[in-house]
Amino acid sequence: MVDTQTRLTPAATLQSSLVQHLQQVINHQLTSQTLVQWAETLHWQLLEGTDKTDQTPATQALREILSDILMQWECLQAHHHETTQNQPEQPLEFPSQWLTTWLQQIQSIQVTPMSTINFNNSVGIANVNSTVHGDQIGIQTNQTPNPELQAVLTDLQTLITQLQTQHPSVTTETEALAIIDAEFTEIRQTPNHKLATLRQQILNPERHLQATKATLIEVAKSAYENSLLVKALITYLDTLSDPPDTGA
Amino acid sequence: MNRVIDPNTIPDHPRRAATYDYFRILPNQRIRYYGTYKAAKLPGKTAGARLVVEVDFTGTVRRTWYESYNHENRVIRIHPKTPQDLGHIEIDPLTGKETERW
Repeated sequence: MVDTQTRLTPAATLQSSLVQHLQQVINHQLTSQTLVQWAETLHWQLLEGTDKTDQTPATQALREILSDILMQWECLQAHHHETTQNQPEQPLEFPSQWLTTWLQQIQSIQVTPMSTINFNNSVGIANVNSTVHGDQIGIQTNQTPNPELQAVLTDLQTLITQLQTQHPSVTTETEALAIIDAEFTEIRQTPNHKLATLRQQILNPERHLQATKATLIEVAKSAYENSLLVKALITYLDTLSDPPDTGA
Repeated sequence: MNRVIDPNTIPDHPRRAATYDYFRILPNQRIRYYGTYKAAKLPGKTAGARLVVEVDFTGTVRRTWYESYNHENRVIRIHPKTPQDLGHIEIDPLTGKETERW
């Protein structure tokens, strides 16, 4: 069986991640406050961070939508403050109609993946053939074949964004690797860590799948190839112990 | 006396000028870039808001905040974000003075 895994552009990765986060808020699996904190980091990455020079229409559209989410939150908080003074604090959430509108706007953004990667086995089975078919440009999809893998990609994106914000001036790979090592140690040691999916999928040796690792590395490479932190992350993922060979 | 800077000498200015809605050159050798104005979806005294980014003459971002406006396009609230989130500061649009923090 041959699964086709699209190699995502940065915009496609961010788009996919944003869709996931919005769907989680709509389904009450994530609070609006958490969405806003995450959107703030992502917005800054697109404005002044690693993707600041990306002026493609897709990235510009993402900037605008993220900006709208953040500014509406500012306005909503003020409205809430004005209307609920002297009343017990109520948790603040975006109206579902707004979330649906943003979701539709994001899903309508057209992004073009750079290339596709074919895996010779379905995700979850060892012995990955990671041949890259670089000429297959133009397939309009940002879907991954496996929902679990998609969740891991989302968490990985969040981690990368968070690390780049917290450590904007890393100058050596040694320093970057130390940061990554510390971060994964914290994820491993903290129960109910917000990057729970990432911990389960990558850091638990029993569930550590080579195909997942290979996909994460490819996505990380394509999205942030110039970042020392991402290079260190790739090194870290690459040195995780491989599962027993399950045969072809 | 403060010297007004030439924005073309500031690293990254062309990109920022193209990315943000508009900019203002300050007398203290800094530039403020104003992000896209977003009209509030809810009715009320806040008409909309935008991000403001202040950059020094080396092109380094020194501080950022969200700025909210009333329907007369006057600033009624700021929310400093970096280097430190100071929460929401209500501003009297006529005097420019702080009236409340929350």
